[in-house]
Amino acid sequence: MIELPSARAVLHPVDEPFPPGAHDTRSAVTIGRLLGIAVAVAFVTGMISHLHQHPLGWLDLPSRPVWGYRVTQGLHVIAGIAAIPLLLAKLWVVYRHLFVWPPVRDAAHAVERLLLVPLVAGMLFEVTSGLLNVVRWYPWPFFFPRVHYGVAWMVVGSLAAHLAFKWWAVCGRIPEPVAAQPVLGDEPLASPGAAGAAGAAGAPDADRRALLIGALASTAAVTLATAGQTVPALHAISALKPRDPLAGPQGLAVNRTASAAGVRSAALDPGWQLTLAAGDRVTRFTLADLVAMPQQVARLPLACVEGWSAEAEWTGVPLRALLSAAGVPADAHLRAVSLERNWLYANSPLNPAQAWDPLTLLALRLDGEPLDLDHGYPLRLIGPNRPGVHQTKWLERIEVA
Amino acid sequence: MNAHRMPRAGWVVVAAGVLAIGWGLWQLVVVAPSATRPVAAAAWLAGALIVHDGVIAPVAVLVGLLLVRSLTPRSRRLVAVLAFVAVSLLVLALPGLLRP
Ligand code: HEM
Ligand code: HEM
Repeated sequence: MIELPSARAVLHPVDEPFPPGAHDTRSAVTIGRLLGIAVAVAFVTGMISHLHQHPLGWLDLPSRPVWGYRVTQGLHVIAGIAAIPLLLAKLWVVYRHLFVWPPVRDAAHAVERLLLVPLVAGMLFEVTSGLLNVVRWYPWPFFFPRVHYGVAWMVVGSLAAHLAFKWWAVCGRIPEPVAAQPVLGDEPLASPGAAGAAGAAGAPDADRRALLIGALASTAAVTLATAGQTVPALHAISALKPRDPLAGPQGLAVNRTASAAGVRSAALDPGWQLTLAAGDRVTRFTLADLVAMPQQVARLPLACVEGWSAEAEWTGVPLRALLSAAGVPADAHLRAVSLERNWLYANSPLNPAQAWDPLTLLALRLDGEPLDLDHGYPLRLIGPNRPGVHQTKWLERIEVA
Repeated sequence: MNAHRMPRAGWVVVAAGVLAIGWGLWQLVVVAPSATRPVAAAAWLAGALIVHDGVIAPVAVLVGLLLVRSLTPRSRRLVAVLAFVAVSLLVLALPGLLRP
C-alpha cells in the first residue's frame, strides 16, 4: 500500500467525526439491508402502478382485490418516504469511501465505482422527485412519472451490481475489522474509537447501535408523520401527511376540480347524455335513464397515484348492466372518455375484467348525496383496484378501444 | 479493504444490472425525449449527486466533527440520534414549506 501522508493530512478531519462503529462494513450492511427492503418494495409497487397505467397488450391486470391499488400505491409512498432517512444514513455511513486512496485499484474496482454513480444519483433523484411530486410541486420541465420510471430501472440495475460487488458483506461474512478501517492511509486513525478500541471496548458497538437507533427512529417518525394519508388508523397522528384524503367536497379530496378541467358548463348542461359506442352500435342514456335503472351501492376506495386514499360509499349503475344491454362483446377493451379535453388523464382504459366486474360503477351518488361537481357530476367511473386517475370524472362516452 | 473478492458468478449479476441501467437510459433518452427531456433529467440527477456529496454530506461531517469535539461519547450519541430524527422530519416538511 502506498502511504500518502499529504492527502491523509488534508482529509483527516473527514475521518475524525466518523467513529469506526458507525462507519464500518457492519453498519453499511445493517442500514443497507433496511434500505434494500424499502427500495425493493418501492420498485415492485412502482412497477405495479406503471402496469396499471401502461397496460401491456398481453397482461390484463385483475380487477381484484378491491383494495389492491390502494395498498400497493400507499405502500409505494410509505416505502419511498421510509427510504429517505435510510438513504441519508447509508450515505453517511459510507461517505468516507468517496475519498478512498488510490481512487481506483483495478479494473473491477473501476466498474464497481462507476456503477455507484447511477445508484447514488438515482436514489437521491427518486426520493427527491417523489417527495416533490406528492406535494404536487413540479419544478422541472419533464413529465415526472416517465423520468421517475426510467431512473427506477437505473437504480435497481446499479443496486444489483452493488450487491454483487459487496456480496460477502451482504451475506454477513464481513472481514473482522480492527477497530477502524482507514481509507485515507493504512494505519488506524487516532480517533477516539480507534485509539481507545482496547480501553473503551464496546465503543464501536455503541456507535453502531446509536446509528441503528437513529435510523429506525427516523424511519418510524417519517412513516408515522405521513402514512395517515393512506392508513385510516394513522389519519389523526400524521401531522405531515402530504394530503388529507378526507378534506374536500363531500369529505373526499379532489385533485382536479371541474373549473380546472374546464367542464363546468358541459357537466351542468341538462341535455347531457352518456354515449355507449361499440363499433357502429351507439346507445345513449340521459341522466333520467340512468337514475331509473337498478342502482348498486358499493364501498370502494379512491386511491390516488400520489399515495393518498380513502374509502367512500358510491351508488350507481354497474357498467356491466349497460354493456350487456348494448351487447358489447365480453372480451372488448374499453375506454372511458371524459367531457374534459386535452388532458393526459381525460380518458382511461378498462380491460375486460375491470369492465365486467360487478363493482365497477357508473356512479351518480357519493355517500348518499348526488355527486359534487368536483367529484365528477353528473356521472363518474369508479371501480375496484384502479388508480385514481383512471376513475374518470364527468363521463361523456364509454367506447370500445 | 476487499478481503473477499466478488464470486465469479457476481459478474452475471453485474451484467444484468448494466442491462437494467441500459433499459432505464433507453427509456429516458430514446423512447419519449419530449416527455423525459434528457438534458434536464441529467441535470437533476447530477445536481442531486453534487448537492448531496458536495453540500449535505460535508455539512453533516462538520456537524459530526463539532459533536465529537464538544461532547462526551454518550451525549454525542444521544444528540446525534435526536438530530437525525429532527432532520428527517424537516426534509419531509420542506417541500410543503418551500413550494411556491
Ligand atoms: C439502495 C441504495 C444504496 C446506495 C445508494 C448505496 C451506496 C453505497 C455507497 C456509495 C457505498 C460506498 C462504496 C465504495 O465506495 O466502495 C456503499 C458501500 C456498501 N454498501 Fe451500499 N448502497 C445502497 C444499498 C445497499 C444495500 C441494500 C446493501 C446490503 C444489504 C449495501 C451494502 C453495502 C456494503 C456492505 C458496503 C461496503 C461498506 C464498507 O465496506 O465499509 N448497500 N453503499
Ligand atoms: C425509493 C426509490 C423509488 C423507486 C425505485 C420508485 C419507483 C417508481 C416507479 C417504477 C413508479 C412507476 C412510474 C410509472 O408509472 O411509470 C413510481 C411511481 C410513483 N412514485 Fe416512486 N419510486 C421511489 C421513490 C418514491 C418516493 C420517495 C415517492 C414519494 C414520496 C414516490 C412517489 C411516486 C409517485 C407519486 C408515483 C406515481 C406517479 C404517477 O403515476 O403519476 N416514489 N415510482
